[in-house]
Amino acid sequence: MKNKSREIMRVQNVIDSDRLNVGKGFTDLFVEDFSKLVQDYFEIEKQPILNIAKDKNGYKVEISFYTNRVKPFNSIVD
Amino acid sequence: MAKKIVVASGKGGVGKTTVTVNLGVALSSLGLRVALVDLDFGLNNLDVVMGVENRVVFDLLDVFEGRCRLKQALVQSNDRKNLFILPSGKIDFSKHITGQNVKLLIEKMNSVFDYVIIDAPAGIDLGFHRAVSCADEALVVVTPNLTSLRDADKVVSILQSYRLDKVSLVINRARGDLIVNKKMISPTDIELLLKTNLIAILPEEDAVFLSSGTLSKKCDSYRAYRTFALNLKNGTKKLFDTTCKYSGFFGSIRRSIKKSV
Repeated sequence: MKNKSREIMRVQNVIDSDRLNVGKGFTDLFVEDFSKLVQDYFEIEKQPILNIAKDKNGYKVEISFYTNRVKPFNSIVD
Repeated sequence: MAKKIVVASGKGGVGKTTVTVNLGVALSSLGLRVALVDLDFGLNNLDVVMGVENRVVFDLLDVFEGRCRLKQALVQSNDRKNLFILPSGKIDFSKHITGQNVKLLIEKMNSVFDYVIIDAPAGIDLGFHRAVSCADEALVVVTPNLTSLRDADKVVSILQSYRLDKVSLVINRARGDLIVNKKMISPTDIELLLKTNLIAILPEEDAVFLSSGTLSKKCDSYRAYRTFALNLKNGTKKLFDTTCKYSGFFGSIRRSIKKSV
């Protein structure tokens, strides 16, 4: 039983590290696209920071950025 | 309209061609018209596993270069009227064959067959992408070991980007005795690890190794492939239990005999 669960853990670890292996191209493209979206709503000076980490329920994706001002606008709902 | 299914794996030697042939045989035994297409250019073995290598006159390349019509290149199975194979080139001319050409050729089979099963090459190179681009569904063949599972996970993530109708797992060479003894990763664990729907469990058996095209009705693999074919046809999820033979009192005797061998 111990051998089996050790083997499963090993497979899980290998697969997890492969899945986390995100290239620089992916990160750059995502941050660029995300910035474009964010700039419609916020005034930002620096690019957002993307952080992906393994979590109990999968992968936790954290995107953080600083804003100087929220861009005010009225929508149809308002 | 034919259902076009690609059989892929990532890692070589997991039994893609064997699965393609035996699944084709099982589907044809349900009365369905089936074509097996070998897209493993240069390393083509579908004709050999089917046992029709001596009857191959034309291949895919001849169809592309206009030396024959598609109908002339199709080789009928030795013992089934509704099962055909389309062999691929003996020499690797794959660089000259575009995905678009292959796709158009497979589209031509739509009205004639119920299932077109495509045997993809190992790896994730051009040949793999060419094979996947022709399909509506994908079957990823894995064996219960680390290397195969790792490669399969990468293949599954690539397949997701193709937006296929369905991507399913096929576990090949499952050893019931080792699963009961907890020395082999169980199919349930594999399904959880790869987060992909499991459609078939195929046992490791000498009969598969010794057969050339048709399995004996007495062997477990025959039943496993029949269950697999029914799952594909009806959209069900009935899995062959490789462990039942090795559970209980008589099962423990079988296990100890296998262990000593």
